[in-house]
Amino acid sequence: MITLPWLSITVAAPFIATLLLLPIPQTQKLAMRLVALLGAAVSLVGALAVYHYYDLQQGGLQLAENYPLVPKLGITLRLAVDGWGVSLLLLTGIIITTGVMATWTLKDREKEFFALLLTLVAGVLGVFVAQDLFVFFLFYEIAVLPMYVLIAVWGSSNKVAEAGPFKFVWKMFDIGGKEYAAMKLTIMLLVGSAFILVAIMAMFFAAGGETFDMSVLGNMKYDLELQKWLFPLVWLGFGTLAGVFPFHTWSPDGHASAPTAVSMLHAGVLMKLGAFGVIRIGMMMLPEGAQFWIPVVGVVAAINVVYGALSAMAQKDLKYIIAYSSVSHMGVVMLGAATLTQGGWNGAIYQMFAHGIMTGLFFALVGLVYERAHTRWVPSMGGFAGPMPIVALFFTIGGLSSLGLPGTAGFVAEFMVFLGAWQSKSAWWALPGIIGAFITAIYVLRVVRDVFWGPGPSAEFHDLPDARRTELGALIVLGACILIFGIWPRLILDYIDPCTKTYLAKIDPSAPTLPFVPQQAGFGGAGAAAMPMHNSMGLGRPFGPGPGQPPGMLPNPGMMPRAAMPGPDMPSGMPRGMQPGMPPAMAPGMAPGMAPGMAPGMAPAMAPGMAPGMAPAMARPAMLGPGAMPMPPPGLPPSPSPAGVAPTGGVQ
Amino acid sequence: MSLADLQPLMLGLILACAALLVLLVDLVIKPSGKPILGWLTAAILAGTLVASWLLPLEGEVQAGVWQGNLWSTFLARVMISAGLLAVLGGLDYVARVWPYRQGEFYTLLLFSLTGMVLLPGCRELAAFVVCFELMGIPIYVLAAYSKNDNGKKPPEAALKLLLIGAASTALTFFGAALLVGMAGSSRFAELVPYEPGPLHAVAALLLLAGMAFKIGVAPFHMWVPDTYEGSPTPVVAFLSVAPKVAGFAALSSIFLIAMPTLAHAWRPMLWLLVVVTMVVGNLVAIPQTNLKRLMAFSGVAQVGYILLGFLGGAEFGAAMMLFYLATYVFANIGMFLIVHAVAEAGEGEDIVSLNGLARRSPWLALALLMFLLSLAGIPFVAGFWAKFYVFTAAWRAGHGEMVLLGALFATVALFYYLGVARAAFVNKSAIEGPVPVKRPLALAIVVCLLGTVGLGAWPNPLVEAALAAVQGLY
Repeated sequence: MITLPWLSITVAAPFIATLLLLPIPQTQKLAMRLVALLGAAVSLVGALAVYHYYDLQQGGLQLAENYPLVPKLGITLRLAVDGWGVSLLLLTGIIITTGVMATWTLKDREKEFFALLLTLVAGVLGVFVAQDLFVFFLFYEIAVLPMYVLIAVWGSSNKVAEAGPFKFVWKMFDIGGKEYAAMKLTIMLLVGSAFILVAIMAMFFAAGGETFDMSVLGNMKYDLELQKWLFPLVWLGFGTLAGVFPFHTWSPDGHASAPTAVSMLHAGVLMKLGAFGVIRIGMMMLPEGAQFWIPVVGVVAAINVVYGALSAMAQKDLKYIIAYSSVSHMGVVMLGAATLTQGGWNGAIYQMFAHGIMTGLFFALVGLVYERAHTRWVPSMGGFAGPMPIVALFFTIGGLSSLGLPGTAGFVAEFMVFLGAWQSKSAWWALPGIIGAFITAIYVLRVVRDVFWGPGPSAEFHDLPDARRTELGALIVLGACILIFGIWPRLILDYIDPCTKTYLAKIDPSAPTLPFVPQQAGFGGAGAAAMPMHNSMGLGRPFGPGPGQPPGMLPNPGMMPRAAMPGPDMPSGMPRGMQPGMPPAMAPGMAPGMAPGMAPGMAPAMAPGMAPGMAPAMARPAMLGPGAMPMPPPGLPPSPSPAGVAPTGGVQ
Repeated sequence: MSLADLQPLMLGLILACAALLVLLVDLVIKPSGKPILGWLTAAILAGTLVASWLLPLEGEVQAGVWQGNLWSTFLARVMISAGLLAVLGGLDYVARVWPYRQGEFYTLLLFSLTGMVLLPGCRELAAFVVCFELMGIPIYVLAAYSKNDNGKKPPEAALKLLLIGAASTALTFFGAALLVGMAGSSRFAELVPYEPGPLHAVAALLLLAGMAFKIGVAPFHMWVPDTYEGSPTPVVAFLSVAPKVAGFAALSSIFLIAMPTLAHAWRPMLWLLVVVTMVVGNLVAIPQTNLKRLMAFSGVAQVGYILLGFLGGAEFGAAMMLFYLATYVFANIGMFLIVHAVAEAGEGEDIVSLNGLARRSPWLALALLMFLLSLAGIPFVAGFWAKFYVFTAAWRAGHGEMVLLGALFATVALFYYLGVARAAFVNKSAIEGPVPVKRPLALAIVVCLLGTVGLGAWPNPLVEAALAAVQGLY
C-alpha cells in the first residue's frame, strides 16, 4: 500500500490549483481552465484513492493525518475518513470535476471564478474529512463564503413576480436579483454558522476545554439539559444549509441565481454538508438531545419533503423547479436521519450521494439549456428533444432518478429512507415521504414533457446546438453514475453501512436494523464470494410481526435480532446478524436456505440487484424455505442482547 | 536617582527625544527638504520597534509609580506599529498637502505616541492622567490639521473631538479626584479599599464613562463618525487605532489593576455598554454611504468585541483583548489606507468610489477584501481568530449570551462589509486604469496585508506572546 497522505492531497489539490491560477494572465483562458480542471481532477483521483485504500474489514476512521495548529487551545488539523466520508468525498470529486467541465465555456473573468470555486471545494472536502471540531467549522466557513462573490458576480438575475401580502418588500429589495440572492444566502448561512459556533464552544468547554478532537468530544456524556438546548442550535445552524423548513428560502433564490458550476456544487454538495453536520455533530455528539428533539426534526423534514415538492410543482422557471426539488430531496435526507434507524441513516447518506449526482446533472443541463435558449421559462419552451437529443436524454435520466424509479440511484436512497421511517418510532413519517415522491413524479414528468418531448420547438429554438465536448463528458459521467449506483448500490453502500451501524449503536443500541443490506466488505473479491447472503435473514420489523406484516406471512421469532451486530468475541468467519450464542452450525444452513439453488459464488453478483428492489421478493421464499425457518436452537436467546451491539471498529 | 533607573521608560524617552529632534531638524532644513522629516519619523519608529526587543524594559520606576513588564512592552509595540504604518501611509499626502507644516505634524504624532507608550505602565493616578492627556491633546490638533481644505468639515470634526475629549477628561478627573480624596493616596495599589463604599462605585462609573468617550463606546461615540469623516485620512488611520489601544490599556490599568474589588459595580455597567455598542455600531453602520463613516461605526462595533475580551476578565480575557487589538491594527489601518489611496486618486471617499476596483487594481482589491474579511471575522484571516478568542474568553467568564449576540452581530457586520466588497468586486466603474499608489503607502498596505493574512494562517506566536504579556499582571 502506498502511504501517500491521500486526504491532504484531496483537500489541498483545489487550493493549490487556486494558487497556481493567480499568476496566469487573463488572456490565457485555456491554461486557466486546464489548471482548474487539473485541480478538480486531482481531488477526484484522491477521492478514488481514498475509496480504494479504505480498508472495509477494519472500518472506523482511517488514513488519519494530524498536524497541530493551535496547541494552546487544543486545535489540531486532524484529518481522517470513515465510510460516510469516503462516499461524500467521492461525490464532491465527481461534482467538482464535472462542474468545471460544464462551465468550460464561461466567458467572464474565468480566473477569479475558478479560483473561488476551487477554494470553496477545498472547504467542502475538508469538512468531510475533518476530525477536529474547530477545523470542521473552519472548513465549513470556507465552503460557505466564496459563494457570495460567485453568485453576485457570475450569477443571473431572475424575474420574480410581485405577489402576496408582502408586496412592499419588492420595493425594498431587488427580489430575484443576483445580489439579493447572494446576500440572502450568505446572511442566512452565516447566522446558521453563528449558532454552530456557539454550540461548538459550549461542547468544547463542557468537555473540559482541552481539545477539539471530535472523537473525544463525541465520547463525552454531556449533561442532558445542555444537550437539549445545544441540539437545536446545531440542527438549525447546519439545517439552514441543508434547507430545513422554514430556513430553506435562501436555496431557491440562491440556486436559481448562481452560475451553473456553482449551482451544481451548492445543491449537489454544499447542502449535504449541512445534513452531514446535523448527523455527524448534532445526532452523534449530542445523542440524548437528538432523541429529545427527533420528533420535531422528523416532522419538519416531512414538511420539507411535501412542501418542497409542492413548491417545485408551482414554479415555471426551470431552475427554480430544480432548486425546490432540492429542498424536497434534502427533506428526504433529513427524514432518513431523523428515523435513527440503520435503514434511515443508510438512506440519508445514500440520498446525499444520489441527490448530489442527480442535482449536479440537472443544473448542468439547465445551464446548457439556458446558455443556448437564453430562457428558463418553461411555458416558452417545448420540443427541445429535437435539436438537443443528448440533453433531453440525460434530463430524462435525471428526472427518473429524481422521482425514484427503480434502477436509478434515487430509488435506492428513497427506498431505504422510507423503510427506515417505517421501522422507526413514528412509522407514519414514511407517508409524507411517499407523497413527496409522488408529487415529484408529477412535476418532473411534466417538466420533461413540456421542455423536451412536447410539441415544438418554436422557430427561434430550431437550431439549438446540443451538448458538446467537455459538456458532454460531464453529462456522461453524471448520468452513468446515476445508473451505476442505482444498479449496483453496494459500490458505496458497503462503505456507508458498517459506519452507520457503528455510529447508530452508540446513539441507540436498540435501533432497528435494515433487513437486507449486505454486511461484508470487498464486493467482487474472494471474501465476498464466500459470503452467504446471511443478513437477509436478520429481518426487522417490516417482515416481522407488526403492522407492516403482509398477510399470510409467518412470523419468525427466532431470526429477528433487532440489533444485528456481531459480538466482539465472535469468530470472524461467522456471519453478522447472528447472536453470539448462536451455534456456528446455523451459518452454513442459512445460505442454501435463503437462496435456493444459488451457488455461493453468485452472491456478489446478486447483491446489487438484491439491495434495492429484489430483496423483499427474494427473501420471502427464502424465509419459507426449509433452512431458514427452523425453530430457534435451544441456545439462542430470544431477544437481542446488548452485548451484541458493541462495534467492531470503533471511532477511535 | 540616576539615569539608569529610567531604563524601563526607555521607549517613551526615545519617542519624546525623537519628537524634539524632528522639531529641531524642521527648523534647520529648507522647505524643499522637508519630506525627509517623514522618513526620519518612520525610521525612528521602526528603530524604536526593534529596540523594544533589544532593550531591557522590565522593572519599576520610582518605587512602583511606573512598571515596565511584558504587558507594557507588548502594548507599546502595537502602538508604535500603528504609528509607523500611519506615518508611512500618509508620507506623500502630508508632504503634498501641508508642505510647510510637516515638522509639527510628526512632532505632534510622536508626542501623542509618547503618551500612549507610557500609559500602560502607570501605577499612579497623576502619572496616568498626564500620559492620558499627552496622548489626547496632540490628537485634537492633528484632527484639525486640514483646517483650510474646502468642501470638508475639518473644523466641525476637530471641535467635536475637542469638546467631547474635554468632557471625557473632566469626567475622568472627577472620578480620579474622588478616589484620591477618599484614599489619601494616588497609588493604584492603595486607591480602593478591600471593602469599597458607594462613592467608590460612583468614581468607578465616572472613570468608565470618561474612558468610554475616548475609545468610542456607544452611547459615547457621537464624535467618532464626524471626526473620522472630517479629519485627514492618514490621521484617521492613526486615530482609529492607536488611541483605542491606549484606551484599552487605560481601562485595564484602572479597572483590572486598581479596582478589582469594585467589579460588582462596573461589570454590569460594562456588560450593558458592550450590548449597546455592538447593537448601535453594527446597525447604524448599515445605511452609511461614506466609507469613513462606515468605518467609524464599524470601529464602534469592533470596540464592542474588544470589550468582550475585557469583560472576559482574568488573564485570558486580557490576553485575548491584546490579540484582538493587534489584529485590529493591521486590518483597520490597512482599510483606511486603501480608502486613502482611492481618495488620493480623486475618486472620493464614498463606497461607490471603490466601484470596479477589482478590475482596476486587483491587488489593492484583494488587500481590501482581506481587511474586510478580517474585520468581519472570517476564517483564515487574523480577525477570525481575534473574534474567536474573545468569544472563548467571554464564554469562560460565563457570558454565553454575549457569544451568541456577538456571533449574530458578526453576521450583521458582514452585511455592510460585503457591501464594500461588492462595490470593489461586482460593481463596474466608468474609470479605467489602475489606482496610483505611492511607494510608502504601498509598503504600509503590504505590511498590513501580511499581518492580516499571516496572523490568520499562523496566530499561535502572537497568542503566546499575548498570554505571556498578561502573566502576573494582577
